[in-house]
Amino acid sequence: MESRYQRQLQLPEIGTAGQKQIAQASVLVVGAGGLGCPALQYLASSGVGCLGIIDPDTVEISNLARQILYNESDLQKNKALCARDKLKQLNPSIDIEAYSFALDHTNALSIIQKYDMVIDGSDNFSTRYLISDCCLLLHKPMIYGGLFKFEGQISVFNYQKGPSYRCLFPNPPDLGEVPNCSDTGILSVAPGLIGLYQATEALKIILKIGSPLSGALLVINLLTLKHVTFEFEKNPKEIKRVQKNKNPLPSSIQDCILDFEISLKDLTTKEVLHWIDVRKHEEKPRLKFPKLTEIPFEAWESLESFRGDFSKKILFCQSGKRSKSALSKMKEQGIQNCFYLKEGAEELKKWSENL
Amino acid sequence: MTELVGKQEEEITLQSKDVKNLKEFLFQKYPMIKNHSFQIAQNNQILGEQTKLDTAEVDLFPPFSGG
Repeated sequence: MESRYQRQLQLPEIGTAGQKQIAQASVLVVGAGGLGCPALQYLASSGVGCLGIIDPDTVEISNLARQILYNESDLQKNKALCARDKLKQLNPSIDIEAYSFALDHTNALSIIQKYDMVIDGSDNFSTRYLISDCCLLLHKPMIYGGLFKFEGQISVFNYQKGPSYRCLFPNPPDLGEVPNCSDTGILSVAPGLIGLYQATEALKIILKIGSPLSGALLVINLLTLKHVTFEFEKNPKEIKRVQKNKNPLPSSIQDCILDFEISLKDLTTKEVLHWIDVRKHEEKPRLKFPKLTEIPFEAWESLESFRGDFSKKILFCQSGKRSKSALSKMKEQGIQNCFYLKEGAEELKKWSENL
Repeated sequence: MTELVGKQEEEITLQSKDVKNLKEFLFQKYPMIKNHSFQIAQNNQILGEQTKLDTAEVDLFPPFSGG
């Protein structure tokens, strides 16, 4: 350990005690893309003892210009698993857990709970608000990074009960309102810089040195090299809204449909669920649940009856296909807390018989 | 924001100097930004609706996506 971290140990602000704190820290990085790659690389090389990486995507050729952990032989590999292998080579002494699926409403709280803090390297607003709400509920710092062309934003939310992301932007923008990197393009070094700022904030929080960017948003323009820090206040109304819900707030935007996909293996028997069968009445097998509504997708007109229903609703059909389309329709009409079942009726029947 | 309104900065004159008034002015002149979320800051402080504007320069900025 001594020689690997020598330069860091030399700093009086860190020393052996600080390096030990780094080794005992755990950080979850959501998204192993443009922001996640550089952040992960430095967190691993600095000796952060436990890293979590979550990303459902695979490495594409267009990623290689900025996602610096990967090379051409990694194409089509899952990013979380691939990043873990690379980082293991860089620093075999740390623990790395890779999650090769998306962070969603069913798994976010239990995954985030395991870590001291979260670095947000996600590329969509539904994931970002999900991270934010979970971090708020679990009192974990969320280290945010945002990108637009030649610009970046950084902030630390929920740090020592400080402001949250919703204090800055209470609700997600409408679908398509704010384009992401894959739509607008990005200077390849921009995520590198912002990701490193995020890793730096994580190290500062671990070491309790300096002042983390809490209650402030740093906006960097790489063309003018202007760095401006905007200060903002905590909005108790927004904080209370999430805390009262005890769960991340349901998202009405759908920039990431995966958020609303539920698999039987993620369901607990304790949950009270409202099942919605969108198949035609003649389709077999028919299912029985304490709370079941049968409305064939073809007959859908008004969804008014669901409007005041805040129970967890799961749509299902024969294969998961129609239920996915039905879910889009529900989201369009602003129906909250609904998901679609990845599996079909046959599998659901088996699952219900084993309850 | 810059792309929506087609300019980096602009000088305007307001009748009543508060955030609400500024927003009304902007929405009237640039209706395309009406359905977009953004924040307004002066002296590097992000402002609430009722805040009085006491400086000559304000910044507007939207949420950013990531990647």
